[in-house]
Amino acid sequence: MSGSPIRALIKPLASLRLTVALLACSIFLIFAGTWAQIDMGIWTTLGTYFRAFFVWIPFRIFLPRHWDVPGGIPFPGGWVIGGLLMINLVTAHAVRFRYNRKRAGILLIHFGLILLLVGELVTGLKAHESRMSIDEGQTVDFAEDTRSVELVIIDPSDPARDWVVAIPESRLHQGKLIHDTRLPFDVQVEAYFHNAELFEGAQDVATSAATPVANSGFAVELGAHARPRPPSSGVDQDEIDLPAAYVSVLKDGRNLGTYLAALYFTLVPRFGLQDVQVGDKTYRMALRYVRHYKPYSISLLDFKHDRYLGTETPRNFSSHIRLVDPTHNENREVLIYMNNPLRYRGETFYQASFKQGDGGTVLQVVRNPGWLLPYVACTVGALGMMLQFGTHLLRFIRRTRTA
Amino acid sequence: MGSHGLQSILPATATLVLILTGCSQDDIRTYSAPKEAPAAGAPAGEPMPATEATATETVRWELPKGWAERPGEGMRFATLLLEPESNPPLELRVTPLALAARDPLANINRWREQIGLGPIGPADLDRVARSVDIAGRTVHLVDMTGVAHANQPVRRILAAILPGDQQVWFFLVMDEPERIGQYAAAFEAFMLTVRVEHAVVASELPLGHPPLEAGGAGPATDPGSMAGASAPGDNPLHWTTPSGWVESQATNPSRLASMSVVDGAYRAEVTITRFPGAVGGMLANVNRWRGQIGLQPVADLAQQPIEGIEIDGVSAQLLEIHAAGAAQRLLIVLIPREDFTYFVKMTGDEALVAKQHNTFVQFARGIHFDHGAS
Repeated sequence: MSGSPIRALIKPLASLRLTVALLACSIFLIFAGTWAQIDMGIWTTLGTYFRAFFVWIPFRIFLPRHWDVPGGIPFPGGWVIGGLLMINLVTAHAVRFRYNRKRAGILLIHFGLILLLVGELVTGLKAHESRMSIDEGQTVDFAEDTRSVELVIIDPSDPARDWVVAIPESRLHQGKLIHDTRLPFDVQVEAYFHNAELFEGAQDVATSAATPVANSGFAVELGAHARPRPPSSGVDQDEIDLPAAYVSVLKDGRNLGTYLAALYFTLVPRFGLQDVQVGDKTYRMALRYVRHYKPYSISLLDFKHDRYLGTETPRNFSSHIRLVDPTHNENREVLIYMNNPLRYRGETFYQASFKQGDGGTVLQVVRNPGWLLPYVACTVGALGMMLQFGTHLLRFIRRTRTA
Repeated sequence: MGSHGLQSILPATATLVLILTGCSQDDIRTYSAPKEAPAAGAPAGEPMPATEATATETVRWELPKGWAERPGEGMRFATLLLEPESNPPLELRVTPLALAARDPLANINRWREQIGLGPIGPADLDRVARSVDIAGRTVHLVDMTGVAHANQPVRRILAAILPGDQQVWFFLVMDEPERIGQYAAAFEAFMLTVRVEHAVVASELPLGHPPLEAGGAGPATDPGSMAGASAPGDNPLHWTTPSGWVESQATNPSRLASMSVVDGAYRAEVTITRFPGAVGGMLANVNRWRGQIGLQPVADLAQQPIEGIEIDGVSAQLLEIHAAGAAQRLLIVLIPREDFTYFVKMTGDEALVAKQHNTFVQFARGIHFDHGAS
């Protein structure tokens, strides 16, 4: 292979200097990503810094915010650094390492590392997390993705089931007209706030001419308005973004009303869905967490929040549930508690949280096709280390005996 | 491995990346879903754990013979079917809204727009709406026939606006004029049977709480407890209203209480609100409040004194926002509890709020949470 053009091409990629440079870059990226969480939520940071090809790192994230220093530097994101590290490792094996029994340990360790990188790639692109929130005695057949919202238009005219058209958050840009044959009407996005606060009263509206005014729905009924708020950051514990959108409903080019759709309305049980009257037909609309309906249902039979005797310190949370899946003839009771999740149909249900007054449970539902890879990677790496250090130890003992 | 191994690894990696990144999540989705249950959680008939007392204003009526009744969903309290067998159904919708929506004119003009009519002014109100006394409440009965517009046929509306104590109740039926015409007299007769009541759902009472009778304590007659007052939703708070403070209707769903204080020409308002989460963080809130009384924002919290205060065992924060020359002053207590932040806030004329400082702090210290809700 020596002298081949491919080898000449990949040799720089296999360089140890590149390895060191990439490791240094990843340390800096993690450092910057950590500081960035003062202003951004952990998932936004993850998406912007680590699960990205390139990132713009503003200088001000390292400095007191009120200095307001402009500028920044472009920097390779997590995908680029991780991808190059993997290429670096693979090409190093291709051009530099020689294979023999003595090096089997190193080979296994590196293979474990590659698996770890692939595992993160699969997790980053394919893993999906959602939440199932169930009251005691309630049966739920959907999970919610609490990191993204969608605007749903529901046609309730079928007495048996609702027909739902869901517009993802990525389509809700200010000024955008959403025309789609699946929608019963056109939707004009007048404004979209990724995080908003609702307030009542008209005096504030006058000061903000850019904010549209709703003339239909909850906003009118409550005298409520929305205004943008900075996104919640990674250092604010327990804070969530509450998106809101002003949308106009258009039918045959005629504006039938501007509504304020807000996640807040969805989270407060009193509100729920708002009616949208189009001619004789009443549709329902809401801005809510993205829902994923399941072919099975989970009923919460009992939720337990055990505390250490005489204290408020939690000892254990557990959810006693019934899983019913007619398509797979499943009908069984399961106890989910910390470190004992339910694994079913490619998804894992962890005990994540509970509802106010211990009246219900919140299960984290994780679908990660790559969930096994980190375990395999660590096992392979550990085997490699044992082999590598074992070989060295044996060699050392042999030498000592000979001496 | 050699170059052969490499040649197979690179295309394999590229394919893996392509497969993994191939799907887009930006598309509009459609799906059929089970009917939404009424907003309050557990399905009917299932026992709910006794947690919080919820004061609910409700309405009761005598259902005319031949009509059918369906429980409401979402905002709707109930749907009455005037012709249960017919298709499309003739629905009388019963919807409660916040008292802020009680202005008959605004509602009538909204309905007029739906049936292709132009807005009317206050002088024309009597022409389209009739006021009748129903059990001591002034109810507006509305009868309007629209015009054909934008491919919509002519429709007629029969509606009633019934102001309750906590909410305003709308009764509305809309369809073709001939179909509606048969029910004009029956609709009015039905409305005469409607009564506003106050009930606490027994299963939602705190443990050990005696049952309350329907039609019992009216709103705001028990100012110390929201169990009988104007809570638009669940309310785990109790307090004692200081003398001189006047409790009023809370019109916003996030608002648990409204009180006003008047001293000569000076006025102040006290509100208790509740929002999910930490609501923007302390700095953002401080700057928002400063903005409300015309002060410049501060860069960090060191410039704003914050005092610790304990409210019913919860560590809360007390802030006083004022400045020399400002006409207004704010006193705020933030109580982070469970998944919510409670704001107890006094806003008003500088001199009065300064004078009320101790009363306000004492009032805040007296707030306690329903233990069933902890």
